[in-house]
Amino acid sequence: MRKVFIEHITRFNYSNSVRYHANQVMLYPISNEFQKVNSHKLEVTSFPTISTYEDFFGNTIGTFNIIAPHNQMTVKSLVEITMLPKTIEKVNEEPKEQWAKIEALKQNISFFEYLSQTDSFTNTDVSSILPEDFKTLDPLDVCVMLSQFIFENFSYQKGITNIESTIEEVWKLKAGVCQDFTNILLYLNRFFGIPSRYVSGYICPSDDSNFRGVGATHAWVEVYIPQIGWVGIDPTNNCITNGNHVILSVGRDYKDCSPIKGVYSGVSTDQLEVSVVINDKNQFEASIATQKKEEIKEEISTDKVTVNSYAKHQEILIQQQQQQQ
Amino acid sequence: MSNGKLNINSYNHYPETWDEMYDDNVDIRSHYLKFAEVIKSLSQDDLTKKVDFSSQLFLNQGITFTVYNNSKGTEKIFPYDIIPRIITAKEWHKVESGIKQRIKALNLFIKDTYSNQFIYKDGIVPFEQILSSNDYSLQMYQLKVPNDIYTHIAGVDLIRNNDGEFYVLEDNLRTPSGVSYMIENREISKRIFPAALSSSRVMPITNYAQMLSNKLKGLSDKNNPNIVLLTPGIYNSAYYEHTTLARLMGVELVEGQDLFVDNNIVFMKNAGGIKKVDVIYRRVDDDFLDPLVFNSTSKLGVSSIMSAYRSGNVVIVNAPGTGFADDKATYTYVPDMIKYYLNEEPILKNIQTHKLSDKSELEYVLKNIDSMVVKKTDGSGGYGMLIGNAASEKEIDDYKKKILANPKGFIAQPTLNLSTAPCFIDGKLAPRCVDFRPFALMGADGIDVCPGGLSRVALKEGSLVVNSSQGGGSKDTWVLKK
Repeated sequence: MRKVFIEHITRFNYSNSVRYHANQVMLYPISNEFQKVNSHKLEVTSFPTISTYEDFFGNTIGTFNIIAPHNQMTVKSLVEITMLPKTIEKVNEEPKEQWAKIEALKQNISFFEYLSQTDSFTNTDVSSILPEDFKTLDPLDVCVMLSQFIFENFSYQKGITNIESTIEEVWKLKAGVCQDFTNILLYLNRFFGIPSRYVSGYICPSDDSNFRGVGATHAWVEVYIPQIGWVGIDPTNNCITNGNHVILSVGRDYKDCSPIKGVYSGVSTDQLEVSVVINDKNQFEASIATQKKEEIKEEISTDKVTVNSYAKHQEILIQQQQQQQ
Repeated sequence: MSNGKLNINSYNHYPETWDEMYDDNVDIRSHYLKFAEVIKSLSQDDLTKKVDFSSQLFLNQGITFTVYNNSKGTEKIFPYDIIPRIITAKEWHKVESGIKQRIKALNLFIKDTYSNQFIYKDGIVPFEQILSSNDYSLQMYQLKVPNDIYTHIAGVDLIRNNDGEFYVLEDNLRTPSGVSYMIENREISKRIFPAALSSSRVMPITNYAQMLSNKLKGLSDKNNPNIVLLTPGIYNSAYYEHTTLARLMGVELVEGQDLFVDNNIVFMKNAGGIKKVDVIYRRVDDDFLDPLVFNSTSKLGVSSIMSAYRSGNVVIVNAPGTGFADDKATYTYVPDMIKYYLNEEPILKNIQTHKLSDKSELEYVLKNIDSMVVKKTDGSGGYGMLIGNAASEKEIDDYKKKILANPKGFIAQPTLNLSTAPCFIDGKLAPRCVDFRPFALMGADGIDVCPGGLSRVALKEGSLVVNSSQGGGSKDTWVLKK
């Protein structure tokens, strides 16, 4: 058992003021037998009312609007959570029976979304990654093998991929960050018929492991093993999750779990700063209001091409209007 | 043009085809007799003058539609034929009750899909194909929609086969268009055939906008709700229809940029301030409706509108996420749905449909493609379909390749003889294929089908394609009183 305090700050700076700003946040850690949320506080600059609902996957989603013009928006989430160890025991059943139970999930409507691919390869054949007789192995061991395959063949490199990167691109680069590793593992698991879902959350620093993904939001995979339930596998750190992975949300892929997203009116370039600090003691400032004003980094624009934003806007507008039925 | 009288007794039937006005012996069907009395007293010139007059009316009122990918320009008058298509009270009764039954079942199917999913768990409809549809939206799962209504406005496409029966070709449950032509066509009939219209005892349809307005009002729990019509904008092919409906209903015509959401309430920006919006009749597709949760590049939608909808503060008409239910792959299961949800036999029949996801059906269709119509399951408006008996060998080969690349994206139906209705072409009456799209409105007080509809005509001789985008036209449809 371990009690941790999480401070997750997301700060958007806009070059010009924006308004009619609609936002969606998925920053509400789930409570289950392995993680118990003791307290959670979510604050947003200018203090809009945040309304919440539960989505298809059972995640809590918050939405809010900032109507008035603003140049900056900060979302601060403070969590106190108790993490409990999760020991996975070996399934006491022949692999053949285990695979039969997994195969049967294809007929179960509740697993449809976890077995459907959300991205695909055009020219890559992944079937040779596993030995032909892989069904003589426990399904969970197979998932661990696939995770290990990614861990060994892909290098962890920041800045070469983004949230739009496809698995095809990541496969060619053989590099990426946690969400890329997660997307590839999701594809592989589903390819071999194992229900899997994307997990967005945090990883707590630990004295005995040097985890990748600390200091930001993290992503990993959960696989469904009928005799056990959902089991977390982190391909970025090549481990089965156990007491250090705080779950914020689950879904088919990143798009279902995006921690913060928004749309606004205004012509602006945004600059984003994210910090996630996790401590065993509570030493965080309670409120945005008391927070000292931080230096805002200068935005260096690499986009020097002259564009006619009006013409571009009109073109897209006309195109979209014509597309409607 | 000659000055002679129109010879209504000479008519070149299409072979093995049901004609709306003439029976097989070229005798006029009894429900057309009153109308025939009127036109046989007219000269060809008289009728030509009526054609010119109707074209001018369309043009003067700006009743145009848009065809994409046409170098000659995009704005066209919707071709109109002056001879009405007449339907008996008895025929209408079956059509009306059949459509009500169908829409009731489809609405329950959509609700079930987004809540308990009973029909899939009971194995009546396979879930893989439905849930993998691009138009199935997880956003709608467990979302409580006002009055449990998803398909407020539906246009059901019917055809009459050579057995004289009406068959359902397609259910349109998203934002069916064409109703403004139904209204305008009647306005023109009123001017060019006032006597025939009254002697034939035709059901009125020009109160459609009033019907719609009443249904929309009834969806809100407010006494005097603020209703708006959300249009994509002036470049949309149905913009004329949007302006017409908004004007006839007396509601504001708005674009996405005129609306915003604050605290889960939708507001309209207008001169002198803002006003809360209660009901939105939207003609913007699902994907563009809310850039926050759907297509983030959309410039036509309203950010956070789904959140306001989920809170129950606004009614969206039709509900988002209904598209999977009028998918051509879902169509094949509608008779099963009617039995499952309503414990009734389908009143209107489906056309026999082959699902190409099934291997033996695929084989059969590829072998008999000459006598098939093959369609994309997600296509609309007649784009991208193959009519086997009218296509060249190369067209068939190319299409076969497309099918084999993704069999589950296609369905096939035997080529049917659409019924014909006489049209006034080159000074005489000539048969042309017609279909029929009545419009059904579902509200808190039940379903009403407007007694009429849009009869679309394939104006090219022998053609089966009635879509306006593919050279089709329309004519007024008279449903007779009992």
